[in-house]
Amino acid sequence: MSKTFFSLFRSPSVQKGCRLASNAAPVENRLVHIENQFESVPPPKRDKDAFMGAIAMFKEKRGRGHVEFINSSLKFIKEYGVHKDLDTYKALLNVFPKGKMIPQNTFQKIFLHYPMQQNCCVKVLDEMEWHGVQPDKEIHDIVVNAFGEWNFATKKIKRMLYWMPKLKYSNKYLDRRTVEGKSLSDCELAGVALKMMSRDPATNVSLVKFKNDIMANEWIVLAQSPSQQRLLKQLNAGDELTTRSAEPLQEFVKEEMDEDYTNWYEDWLKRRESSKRTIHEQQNEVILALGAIFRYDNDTAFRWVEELQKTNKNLENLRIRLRIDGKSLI
Amino acid sequence: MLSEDLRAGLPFFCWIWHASVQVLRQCAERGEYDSGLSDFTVLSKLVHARSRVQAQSLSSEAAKEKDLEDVSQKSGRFSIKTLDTAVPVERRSLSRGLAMNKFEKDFMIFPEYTDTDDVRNIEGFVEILRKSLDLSVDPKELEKEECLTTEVLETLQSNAAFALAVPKEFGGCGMVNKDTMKVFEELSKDWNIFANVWVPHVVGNLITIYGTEQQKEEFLPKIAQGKLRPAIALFKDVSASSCSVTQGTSGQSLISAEGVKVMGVHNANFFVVFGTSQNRSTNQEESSCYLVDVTALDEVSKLKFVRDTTLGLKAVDVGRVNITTQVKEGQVLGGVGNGKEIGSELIGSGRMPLAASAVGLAKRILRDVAVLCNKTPSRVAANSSLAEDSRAQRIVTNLALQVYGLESAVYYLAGMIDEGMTVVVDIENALISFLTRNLLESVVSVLLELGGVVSSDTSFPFEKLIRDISTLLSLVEDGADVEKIALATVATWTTSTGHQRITSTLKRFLKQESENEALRNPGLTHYIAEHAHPSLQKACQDLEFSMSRINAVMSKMVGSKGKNIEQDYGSLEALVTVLKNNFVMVSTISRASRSYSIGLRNSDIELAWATMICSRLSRMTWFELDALSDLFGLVKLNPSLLAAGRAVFDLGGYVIESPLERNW
Repeated sequence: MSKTFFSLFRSPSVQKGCRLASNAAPVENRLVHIENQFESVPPPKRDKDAFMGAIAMFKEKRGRGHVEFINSSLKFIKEYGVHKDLDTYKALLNVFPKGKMIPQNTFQKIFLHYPMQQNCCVKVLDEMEWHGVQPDKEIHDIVVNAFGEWNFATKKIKRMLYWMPKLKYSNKYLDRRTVEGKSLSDCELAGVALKMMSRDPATNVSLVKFKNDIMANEWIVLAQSPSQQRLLKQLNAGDELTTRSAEPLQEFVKEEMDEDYTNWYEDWLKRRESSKRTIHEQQNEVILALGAIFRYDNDTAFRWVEELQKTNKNLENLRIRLRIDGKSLI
Repeated sequence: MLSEDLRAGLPFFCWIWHASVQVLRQCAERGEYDSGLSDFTVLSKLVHARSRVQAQSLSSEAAKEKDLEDVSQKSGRFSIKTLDTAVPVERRSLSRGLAMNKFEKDFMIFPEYTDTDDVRNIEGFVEILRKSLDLSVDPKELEKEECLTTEVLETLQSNAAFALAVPKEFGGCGMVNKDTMKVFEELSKDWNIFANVWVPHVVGNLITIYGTEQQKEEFLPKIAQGKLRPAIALFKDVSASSCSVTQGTSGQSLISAEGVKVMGVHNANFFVVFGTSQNRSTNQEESSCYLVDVTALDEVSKLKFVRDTTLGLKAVDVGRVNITTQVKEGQVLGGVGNGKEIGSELIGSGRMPLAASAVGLAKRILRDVAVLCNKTPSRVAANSSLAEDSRAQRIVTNLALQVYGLESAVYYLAGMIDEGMTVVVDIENALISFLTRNLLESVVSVLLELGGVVSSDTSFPFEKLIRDISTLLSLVEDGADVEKIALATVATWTTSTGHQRITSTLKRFLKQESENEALRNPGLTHYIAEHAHPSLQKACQDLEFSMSRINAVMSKMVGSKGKNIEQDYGSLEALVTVLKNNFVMVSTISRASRSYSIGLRNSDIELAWATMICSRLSRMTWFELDALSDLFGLVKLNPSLLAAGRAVFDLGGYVIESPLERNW
């Protein structure tokens, strides 16, 4: 009976029938197909609580169909916005029964024991790795309790536990702890992103919030360093500036061997006393400020320029060309 | 023990006697040798006749050297520059020569007065000054009044403290450098007095070197009389100050200085400022030095000085000045566009007096510490004094050796300049500023360590001194021009040795082998020990090994990195440390050798101290050079050291995680 039920659920025709039936049944008691359990929740209500509720419901009502349930849940994990949440992955892996799938004899150990389940587990762990969710000891223990100490899926989590912490901070521009597991607002995220992008350590990042009725919950983030302010101050009246999306900087300088030692010291003195090129002065452009705006259009960008003007008086004398939404606004 | 020492000293005496015969012959030919002198006087005379003999032996190059000397004099004595290779570099610059593994034996003879009367004169002068200062100076009153009291000013004026280096024709004393050093040793009785004399001294030097005849006649007599109260712009200030000059027609310019940080005599009436202007022909910015005499300002001109509240040095005016005035051509010092060079001379010429004052202070501190420690009971054992405490002895040992090193270096350098030879002392002068800073920092730390709990109290007798030192160190140039010293040395090394990189792999391999061998077993080539007392043989060997190794390392560095070495601050700093050690070793060896040979009091202690200093420094040098030669091996020590500082700046502080932090 169970096999039939299983296959029925997997059959496309039965699935269709089920979906129709489920639509008609009351929400609490209706019979829902595994995949439909996630699909049936209307998009505005799709959140972590709903996702965890579905898992809890599955664990409560069923003792089988784990692989199907997990596979279908992985399809929706992003839609529910829980793809970067470690608790969700733990709950998903906890769906597997404990002890039953641990190999007991040598043959079971040699051959892949419960291959579908193990592959499914690896799939969950892959998803987790892909989204950069850091594993912890608990998730390792969950997998060990389900599949044994040295099984196929367990090796995957052990390798993840070995490598992922090593590469956790490979992006030296961001301390991921400031973002991970935190519910940051848009403007806070913008601040973190600008801090990452500003290669000048002296950069000041400031937030401007509009609190009047018309501009409620609207914000602008400014990032500018003293050397950028200085560069801006040095511009002549009438110079043209452009506002557009940011591009990567050219930070690397090729070292060449110079072996002409005549007048070395005098040349070095001159070079030393001459003004240095800042990181803001790139080959084809000079970056004078960075910013983030709540809405991507020229009008908002213009407000950002106005804010910038408060600390950079020289902006009044310059011609600013905004090219945020493709249309030029001078 | 003494007889052993005498026996040990005998071969040296014999040697110097042997050498003396040749020199005496030359002297006798010129009628300079007086046969009625005793042996010791002859010996003493002999050593000091060195400069004259050498001056004549160089007669073939005299004309060329004189030209160089003229240029050198004109462009200042202390601004660091490269040397041309017309004259062997080791004969003109001690440090550069040592770095090239070239040795000039004349540098091993400690320079001193030719005439004993000169020594007695300056000793008498300093004695009177010391006593007058003891009578007139009350440190607490100086702090309270926030300026030198009339009594102190009169003492300084009556002792011609403002006229030390001003030439005689302009009403000054025209003292030689050795004299000046002796006087400055006494002036650090209170750092306020030092600073009030030091600023006019430096300004007087600048005007003597760069000033026109008219400027000299106008200002130098006033400085000598103490009527001119100068203040100088501080180069260390990088905050929001500006001094721009707009050049007008007929040689007149408008100087507009805002918030320029100056340090000077109380109620200054003469300002030395550096302004930037646009060169009309090249259209580039150039810096010039301007002399602003407050008494000669017209009604339209504006000048406002606001005093800062400093931690120490309360009787010295430190603050910001705003000046708007017309300056004439005659107020530019050393011509338009020479501001940078004059600035570096300003910094350079202040270093030796400061060093001498630091030495004087440290000597007085050691004397006071000796009295206090002998009277204070030990914190460790009953019935014993703090002076018997091993730790206290160890702390004082380090300070005493530092004082001995710096004192030797300062008087060695001053004497070299006084001898009037074509010796360039730019690098040595800059090295002295490192030694001075180290000594002053050591003085503070010794006082705190020996003082113990007492030093936490505001009634601690050295409380004012500690405040004054920290203020002074933050104001005066910190001598951190490591790059200038190192690159001037390396640049001279490359031109003098005609360095060319070896492109053949085989040749490079063979050379590498020989260089490694030279580093491991340097061997003796110059036999420097022959030119010093036999007791200092070990010290001389250490010096010679160091010379040989530095040459090998330099060759390796330049061969591997070429001019890119200028980017590698870590290597340059190590090089400067080695140069500094070499300089101290040469000056202490030659001083101790002289002292023992002529039988000065406690000269046996000097020998021990010199040997200890050389032993320590040579090991430090070996470590630095080893690290440098390893630079291109697997352990890239210096770049990684720098990377730590860079990471702190880039990432905004100490970003290393706590050792207790877990990652999962």
